[in-house]
Amino acid sequence: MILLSVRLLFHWGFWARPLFMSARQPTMTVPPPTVFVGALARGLAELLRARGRGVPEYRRAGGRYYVPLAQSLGRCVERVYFRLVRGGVSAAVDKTRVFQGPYIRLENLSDPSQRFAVRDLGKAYAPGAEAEFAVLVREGCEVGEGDARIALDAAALVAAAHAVTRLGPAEGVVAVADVAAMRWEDCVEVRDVKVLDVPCPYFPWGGGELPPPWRTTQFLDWRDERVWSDQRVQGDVVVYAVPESEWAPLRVEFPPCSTLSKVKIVECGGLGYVDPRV
Amino acid sequence: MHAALLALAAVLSGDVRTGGHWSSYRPLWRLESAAAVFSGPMPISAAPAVDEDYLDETIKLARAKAEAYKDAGIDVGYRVLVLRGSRQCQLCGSGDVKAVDAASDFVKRLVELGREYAGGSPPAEGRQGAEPQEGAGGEEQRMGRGGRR
Repeated sequence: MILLSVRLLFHWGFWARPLFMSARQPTMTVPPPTVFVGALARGLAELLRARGRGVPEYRRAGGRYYVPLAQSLGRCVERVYFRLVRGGVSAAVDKTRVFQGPYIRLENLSDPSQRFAVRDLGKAYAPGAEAEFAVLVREGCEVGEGDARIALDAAALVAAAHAVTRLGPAEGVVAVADVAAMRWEDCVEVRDVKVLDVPCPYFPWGGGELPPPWRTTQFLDWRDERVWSDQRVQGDVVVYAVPESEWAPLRVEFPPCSTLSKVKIVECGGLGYVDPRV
Repeated sequence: MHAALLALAAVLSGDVRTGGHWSSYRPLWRLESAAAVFSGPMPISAAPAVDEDYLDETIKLARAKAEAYKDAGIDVGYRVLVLRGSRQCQLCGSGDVKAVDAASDFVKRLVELGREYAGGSPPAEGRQGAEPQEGAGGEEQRMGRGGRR
């Protein structure tokens, strides 16, 4: 297993829509795992194209669209972590003129006045914040189809991570500052107190007692192929532990791993990650 | 691609009105400093323009990414375009950087390099569109955009 750690800088922040929200569109205060799997899939697509192998952004099948590369990459990703290393996130809602094509009722499609509208659009502001997302990937897992196939190794994952330019929509511009690929088997249970003082990433929750400011939330399971299609159906979900500020639920900072006393925390490359199997 | 570049140039030149009510929303702004990275065949993004040294950081980032791509067996060509303004930029004299002092030059180079790295041929000499639109060239005019209704 390879732990791919990606350090990035937000230009202004991001937005991530909660499932099925359309007319009213708040944002999640932390980017969900699907955002990172999707971003990495796009990086892999850039890598394959640079090697002369074309990869479609999306494909249509049975009258519906899906994202083939993200679908196959999702099956190779075991776990996703995310933390803010520096700075915090402040969620807000702005009046924004948006294209609302996907949400127009069929009988109204011919009416041009339906295409754009002013909506309350949620945004998670984090200008200058530094974050890390990490994915645990099965080494050698094959991604892609036909001639455009690639067996995931450290070099390919590092190059793909460097090619990440945004999280979520096109507006969510980020700059990837540093990438490291480590063997998960080499990570050891943390003993250094300094590692426990570093902000702890959100992590898949194994159950039991969860101390504040941590709480549980549900994310779409990136391994479920329905997530990467336009079928607006409830796919599988994963339960994650995420931080929530006690004084303002729309302001998020990541507390240190020392706030988690009853989970196993392993150290990889000087940072702590919760291993939910224990 | 050319249309997108011209649209971006128009925004940066101050030729596009923003806001819902022109009578009450007339932002006073001008392009003080900027950085853009052109690369192929792999993407390179600029550092956020939040920190004071973001121009130098963008150049360092571009170099580091080109090296990282090289390690994966991909030679990436890139060029950093910088509008210095009043900011310090110690790396702006390097060969991989094109530094300009005027916003109008930045916009012009942005379109040229954008077309070059997008796979198209650079615009012909004096071609319409690569230049900021008439009336947007002077600093005074860009400051308030008043009267351009």
